[in-house]
Amino acid sequence: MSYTKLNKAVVIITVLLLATPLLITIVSAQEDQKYFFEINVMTMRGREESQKTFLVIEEEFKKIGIKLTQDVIDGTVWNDRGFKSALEGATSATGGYDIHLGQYGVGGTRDPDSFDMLHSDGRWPGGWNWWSFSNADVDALFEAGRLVSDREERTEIYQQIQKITVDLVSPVIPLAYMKIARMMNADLEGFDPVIGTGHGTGEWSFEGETGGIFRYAATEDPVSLLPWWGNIGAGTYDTDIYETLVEYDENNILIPYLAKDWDVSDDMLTYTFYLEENVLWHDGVPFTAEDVVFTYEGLINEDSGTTQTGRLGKNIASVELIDEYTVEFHLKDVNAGAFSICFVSYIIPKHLFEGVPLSEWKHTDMATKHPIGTGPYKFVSWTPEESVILDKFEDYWKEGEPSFDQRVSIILPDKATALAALIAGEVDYLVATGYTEDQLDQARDSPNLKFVMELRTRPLMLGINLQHPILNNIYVRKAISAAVPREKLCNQVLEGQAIPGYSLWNELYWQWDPNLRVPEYDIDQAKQYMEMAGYDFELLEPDPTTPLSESLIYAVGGLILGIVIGLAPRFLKR
Amino acid sequence: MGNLRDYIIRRIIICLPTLLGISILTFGIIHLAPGGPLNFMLEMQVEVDPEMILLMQKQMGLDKPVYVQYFIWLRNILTGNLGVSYISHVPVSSLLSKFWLNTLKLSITGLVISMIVSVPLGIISAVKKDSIFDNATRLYSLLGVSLPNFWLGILLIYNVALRFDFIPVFGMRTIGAVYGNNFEAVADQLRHMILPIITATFGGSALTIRLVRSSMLDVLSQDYIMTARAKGVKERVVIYKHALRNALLPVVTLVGLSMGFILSGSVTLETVFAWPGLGRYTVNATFMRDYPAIMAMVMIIATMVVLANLITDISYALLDPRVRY
Repeated sequence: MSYTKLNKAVVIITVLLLATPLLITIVSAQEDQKYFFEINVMTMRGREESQKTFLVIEEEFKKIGIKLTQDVIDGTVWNDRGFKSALEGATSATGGYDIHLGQYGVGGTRDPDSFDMLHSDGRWPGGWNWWSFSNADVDALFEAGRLVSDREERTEIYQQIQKITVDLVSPVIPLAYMKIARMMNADLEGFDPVIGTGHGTGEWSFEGETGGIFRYAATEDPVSLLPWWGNIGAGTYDTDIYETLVEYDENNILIPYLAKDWDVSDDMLTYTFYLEENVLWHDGVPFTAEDVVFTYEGLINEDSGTTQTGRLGKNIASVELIDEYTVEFHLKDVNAGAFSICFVSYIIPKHLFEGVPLSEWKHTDMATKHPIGTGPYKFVSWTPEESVILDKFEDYWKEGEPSFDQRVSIILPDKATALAALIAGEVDYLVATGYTEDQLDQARDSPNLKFVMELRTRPLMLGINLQHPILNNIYVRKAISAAVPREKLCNQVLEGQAIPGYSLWNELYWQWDPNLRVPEYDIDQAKQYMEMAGYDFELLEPDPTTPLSESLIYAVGGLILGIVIGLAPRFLKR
Repeated sequence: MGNLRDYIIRRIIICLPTLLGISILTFGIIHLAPGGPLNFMLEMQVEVDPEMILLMQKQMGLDKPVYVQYFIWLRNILTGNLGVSYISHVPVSSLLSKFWLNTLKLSITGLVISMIVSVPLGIISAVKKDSIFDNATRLYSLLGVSLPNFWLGILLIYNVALRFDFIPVFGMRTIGAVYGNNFEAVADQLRHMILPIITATFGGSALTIRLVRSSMLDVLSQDYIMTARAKGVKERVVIYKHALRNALLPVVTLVGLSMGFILSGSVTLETVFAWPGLGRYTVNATFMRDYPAIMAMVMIIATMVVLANLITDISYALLDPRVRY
């Protein structure tokens, strides 16, 4: 080895040795940063928007002395942790949760009556209030909201609830509302994203003409052909097979469906429905009030074990057949939100279920092999993990519907493949969640496609375990809320596929009040809140032993070591 | 030969506790995994009344202790009842047969084609060691081993399927298509197999090429090859008759070992190409904690692997007198 090479080696080694302790010091100084407390955030696996959001708030919360950790968990465990907190007051350390982050419906889907989530009676297992939120004013308002039917009066009531939840920063802190891109064949017409409801494709067509095969890209296999026992993957075909008594339009206004009209008694306990008279089941048998009575008597009976049984059973006392096309429901209690709870269940044909024990309903051919409904498309076949094929129902009761000869749901589990299939024209419609901007651009460039961006009703939010000893402090919650940079989150991190969320509800709800909102991002304000909560930021100052002096020691030591190692071979050679 | 018969009977008897052990282990593991089928079904379904969840749990028998649930399952399976899926409420056996055929279609074709490609390549590579051909083949097999098949699959979809109308992007057949005759149906399926098979072959053949090459090199340096050459046997006969037979033994072993893989399918391949196969179904079932489906899949795959091993062992005993029993 020549001397110049040796000198170079010495220099390189020295620099490396110098750099290492500096790096270590910087890294360890960061780890040494002090926090008031540590909070665990639970997000669900596969929900990229949640994990991206976590990274943003993690940085911001450091500034106010809160260390965040994340548990990315499977959907199968999610509820268990929520329930454990609700029942036993457990925190993340004891098998529950501190904060959950994700898109979660709090405000009711079609009606603002979210009694089960925000009323204190809704605490698990009475309802889904697993934040253990309990406020006497909110309780009273929800009870009042159920007794009046006038829209304007109700609006005022629910706006007051919205105000209280904003003032108390509980039980949830809204962050953003996601927008979903629906990508489709440019020829597709009649598509209209209707919030919260599962409208079918009856009104859709290719350029207003009849005919053609419509192919819908679904990500998951349907779980059940009669989705009463869990509804993953549903909503892609079932709304075209089955129909309900009433529906909601895009403004959340009640509209007729199988029931062409209805009356509500003055005491709001009796609901009378007048049914459409020319409706046929897919097997040609006429649809009558007997089917409605049969369906509901089964649904409210615990033996049927459907996911709707509990809710319906709590509200409906009895169902009465008046005549062939009239049916009367008697409710247990007055509830202005009854329509959204009780009268949006699929009606099933009595003649095919009669005589089957309720507990066997889910194993019938209707539920597993060949469903029969009254909808615009009739079932042809289900090939698991491949497709669900529906054919046009020629005797459909609505004039001029449906348009397509065939309507197919294709199961495409891989997102990139699904996008390629759409670009290649092998599918016509895709709900594009979880795509990057680059991927969306690729589709935007394609002349055969068009986009519809749809705002979601469920906010992306932080749900707070209010039994948590630290988080039950309102000032901590205020600090947390003020430390979220909602604008930055939506524009930069969520790539414009979201708008900032400031309250339980957004513009898609009639009870929404745009002026009521949590305060904007303000880190100084957040720090003040932390101080009001009793946390002293002086305690977070680093120790007087500055990392610089330490690193100097390392540096000098490293230099000497470097020279020794660098020169050693020379001495050894001698 | 009485000795051999005893051996075979003993081997068959040993299979039973093996399967029982596998079933206990699998059952235990899937029940130990946090969460359960109801959680998945009801994930964030706020329309569901929570009290109903407890009732549904009871109806599905999930409130019983795990060992009781195991014995119920064991009793059912001994009477030939694989159970009903918790998620779709369809009997598991009816789903199984369909998925299995689809998976075999893909994996057996993939295996055969990768053998057809890799055995000659491996041989030539070994015979013409260090030639340009050898180096190119080695590069190919290096790429084949290193490139993940989901990536290759996506690459092919975007660069081949999107350019050529003839090649479909996904699936096993054109969904909803009506065929004039059987020939059209077969042609349609073959068209759909092009990309998945290329992807599967690329990865699958890479390993085999390397194996054939190295075992061929090994055999070619043996004394009996030298003897054959010294006798004046033609080089082609030396390679194909004397060397190849012996060199293929490890390859046959590899194929045997990959039995489980062939049966269960490639999850990534099936996902990327939306191929309705067993692998994808099993993984989905696991995510959803669909206990009856998982148990059925695992047990059937286990049984096949155990049987394959049994047959291998017995044939060894029959073929090779050195095997003691």
